[in-house]
Formats: sequence, structure tokens, C-alpha cells
Amino acid sequence: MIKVLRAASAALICGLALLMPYRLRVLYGKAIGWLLQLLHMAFGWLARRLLDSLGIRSASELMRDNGGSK
Amino acid sequence: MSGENTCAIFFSGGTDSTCVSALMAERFRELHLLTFTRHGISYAEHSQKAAQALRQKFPGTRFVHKIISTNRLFEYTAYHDYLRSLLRYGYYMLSSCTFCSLSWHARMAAYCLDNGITHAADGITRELLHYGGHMDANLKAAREFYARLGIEYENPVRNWDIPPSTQFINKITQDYDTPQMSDPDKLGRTTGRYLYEHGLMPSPDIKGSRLDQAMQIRCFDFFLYNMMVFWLQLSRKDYGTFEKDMHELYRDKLSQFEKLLNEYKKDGPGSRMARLLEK
Repeated sequence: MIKVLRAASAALICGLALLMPYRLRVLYGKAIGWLLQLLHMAFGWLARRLLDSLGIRSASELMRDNGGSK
Repeated sequence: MSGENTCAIFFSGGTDSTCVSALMAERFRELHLLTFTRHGISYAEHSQKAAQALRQKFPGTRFVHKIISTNRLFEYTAYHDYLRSLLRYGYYMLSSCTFCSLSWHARMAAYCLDNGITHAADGITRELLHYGGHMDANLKAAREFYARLGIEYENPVRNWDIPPSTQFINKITQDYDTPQMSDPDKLGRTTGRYLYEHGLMPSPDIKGSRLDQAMQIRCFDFFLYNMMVFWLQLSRKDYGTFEKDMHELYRDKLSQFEKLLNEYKKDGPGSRMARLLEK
């Protein structure tokens, strides 16, 4: 079912892109990417809120304090 | 400097192309690092950091770094004879990553012809094999394309190990059932490790890190392409069929460029190719 939904939404999103000229298609692709990244950023924001409310420091903060490279 | 002592490199400024540049610096006395850019690609100027690091590491090698726009070439690849292509290739006409690769090959070939350079190389690995330009059959077609123009094109790090991607966006738009990533516990020679061992990187694996992002071009055009490939094409056909379709498209476009480049060799500034080239 998920696969069918994904294929259908991809067909629609990509179908629209096929009708667009170069620059508009690039902007459209960026907008799609931004929306997908929004999920990721929203999850990160929620995780930070939850950790803060529990008084727990995140793994990346701990790594930074311990001299982690990334 | 004679063309035989010179090599042109597809140079994004990332670990793979920087590693290839370091490898080629041991064979050639002059390297032309070409960073191609267009709408949809940002931060081309980031590649200057790696270029500078290479100059410092290899003082006996002359590095010429150029940032070149390929907007007209890309637009030609993606939109020339559009209706015919759309009817023949359908959704594959959203293969921006593949079209980018093709337009860069055309630009690289023209640059080599203009400058008497007979060697070209890039940092393609076995990562992102769903990109048309990364597929074995298309790389072979590209090598043959260059050979017919009198240029030797090689992929020195093609079979090196690759670390898994840390990019979240890749995890949600790409299907990792396709065999791409080396086992992280068994990584041997990687481009990152090579650069680290030669003092060009601060750690052996920076892929996906902020440092990695800050040293190379960034492209945001792949979202649509990945969606077309993983959510649409691979939902209804197997990977082998997808590769064959991509190869047909790639060969078609490459042969168009070969015709244009042969015209360019003959007619120079008056040719169709000359009108597509930007500095």
C-alpha cells in the first residue's frame, strides 16, 4: 500500500516537473527537497524539546564537549 | 606545458575528487581542476579550499582551478528535441543527475580539445549507482567517447571502499537494498582515509559532516531525481531494466554531444557547440 501511494505521489510530483522549463524545475525540486527536509528538522526540534524538558543533554552536545570530530 | 604532462580533473572539492587530484599530482606536472556549476548547484567557490590545500601539499605540481558554468549545456541535454525525448523516455527526462554528468563530459571534452589536454579523470566511486553517470555501462560508454576524441578518461578510485552515507535525506528518498555501501566494519582503502594519511584531511571519514559540506559544491537537484527513480521507476521494474533504460538514454545523449564536438573540432567558434560553451 505504501509503495502504491509513493508511486502515485511520485507520478504526480514528477509529472508536474516534466511540464516545467529549466529554472522553474530547479526551484520546484528545491521546494520538494525543502519540504522533505522539514520532516527531519521538525523531528530534530521535537527531540530537542523533549530532551530539554527531561533535562537530558543530546549525544551531539556530549560529543562536542568530549572533543568529537563531527 | 605539453598536453602529455597535463591532466584535467572533474573537481567538486569533495574527498573523492580531491583524492584523485592527489593521485594524479604524482603522475602529472600540471592539473586542471574543473569545477562545473549551474542552476541548482550552489557553493562552487567552496572547491577553492581543497584546491589551495593541494597546492600546498604538492608544490612541484601546477594547479589551474577553474569554475565553469554549464547552464547552456545542461539545458541542451535536458530540453533539446524535448517532445521526441519525452515520448521516448517519459519520466526519465527528469534525470537531472544524469544530464549533469553528460553536460560535464561535453564541457570537459571541449576544454581538453581547446587546451591540448589528453588525460581526464574523476573521483567516481561505487556510491550512488542509481545515477546514470555512475553506472558501469555508461562509464564505459564515456571512456569510449573520450577515446574517439583522443582523450584518455579514467576513474582511479572507482573500486575503492566507500563509507555509508550519513545524510538523512538519502535515507528517506533512497532505497538502500541496492548494493552500494561497503560494510562499515570492513572498510579498507577509502578516499577519505587516503587524504587523512597524506595530511590533507583531519580525519579518515568526513563524509556527511559539516566540514565535508563546507569544502565542496552542493546540489539540491537530486530530490526529484531520487523520487523518480526510487518511488516511481523501481516500484514497477527491476534494477536491471532500470539500468538498461538509463544506458539507452545516456548513449543517445552522448552520441549527440559527440556529433557536436566533432563539428566543434572542424568549425570552432562557428559551430553549434561553441554557442553552448560558457566560461
